[in-house]
Amino acid sequence: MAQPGVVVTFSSRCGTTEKFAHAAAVGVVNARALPRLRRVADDGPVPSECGDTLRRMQKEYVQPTEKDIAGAPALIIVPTAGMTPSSTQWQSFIALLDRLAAAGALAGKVGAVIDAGDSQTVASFSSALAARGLELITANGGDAREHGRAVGAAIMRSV
Amino acid sequence: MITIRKSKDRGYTDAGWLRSNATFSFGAYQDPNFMGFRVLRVLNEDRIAPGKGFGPHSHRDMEILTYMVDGRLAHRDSLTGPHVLGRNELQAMTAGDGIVHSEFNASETEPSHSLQIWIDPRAEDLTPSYQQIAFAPEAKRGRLHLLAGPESSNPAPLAVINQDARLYVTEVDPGDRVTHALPEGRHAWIQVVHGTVDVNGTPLQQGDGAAISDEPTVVVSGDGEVLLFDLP
Repeated sequence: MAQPGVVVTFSSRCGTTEKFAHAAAVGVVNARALPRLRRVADDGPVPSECGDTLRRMQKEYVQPTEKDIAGAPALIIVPTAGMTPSSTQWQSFIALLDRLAAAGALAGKVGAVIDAGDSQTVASFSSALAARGLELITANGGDAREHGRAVGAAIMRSV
Repeated sequence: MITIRKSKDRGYTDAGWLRSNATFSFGAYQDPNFMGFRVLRVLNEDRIAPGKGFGPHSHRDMEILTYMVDGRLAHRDSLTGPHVLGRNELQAMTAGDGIVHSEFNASETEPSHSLQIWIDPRAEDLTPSYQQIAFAPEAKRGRLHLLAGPESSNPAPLAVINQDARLYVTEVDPGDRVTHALPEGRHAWIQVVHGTVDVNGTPLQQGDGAAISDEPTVVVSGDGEVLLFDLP
């Protein structure tokens, strides 16, 4: 039996939000599901101290694709604190979700938004996922790993 | 009894940036006759193009060892890092209940050549950990040097793994004869890192492996480098 996958999509330029994404992915593994880490495209100036980290991440990660999202029973979003679904980095991803939602390809999927330091960011992305038909999973105030574990556990219960 | 696994008979993957020979079933290469040997589950010989590598991915419930043959690998994981692994070094990672890591050729100009080894752990849901040891090249010349085992050693640096298995390395020159006692119930796997060696009278080339059971000793001679796994 193939392990059910969870696409963990994050934005990061200096590596801070990447750590939250890794923690969420570890939680997914804890629950015996399979995380797939994806990073959204960059936009805007890069802080000079982040150049090496950004070049590394550009090498190590690919962007999420329709096939990734359509094939996974769950999504975890890890936005940088302060961003919204309208932020330039996330616009392509949200548009991708819109296309999949219109095609009915998000039906039955679960999702979660990881708090990387800003509750307003979590609220705005949670609304965006719910509006596109995803069932939101929360971990009752838990950290990124707990959230990942909760999402993983939710999809493992359904297989 | 010695059963030879010839280098040319291993599974082979060429992804452009990665050329990999799999001694046992791994990924797209699946052969029910080669699913591992005892607790040794994976033994891949990887050649990675400059600057390329495996992006962040996850593992669970596996002891993962990496032995460098040539070049350097850059490693990052959800616990620690970055680390760079080079010749005469061993990396040992306990995936335990979950770890995320990446491995890239640390050089933008030279290929890397490494052996990745997966060993079944003694239990599931262990605490993840990362270890990296280095040893002097002389430590393996003409004798077995213990790289990893189930308990810490004194004084040599040793990677501790969560299984009753030991990994040794030796580099023999013509005239050397290295012997390892194999108590009843223990088994051995030999992997030739480079050169041409003779194991209990059987000639082996670079990339060849051999499963050894019901033999009281393993005797290595010839001209090359060998990994020896002592397995339950």
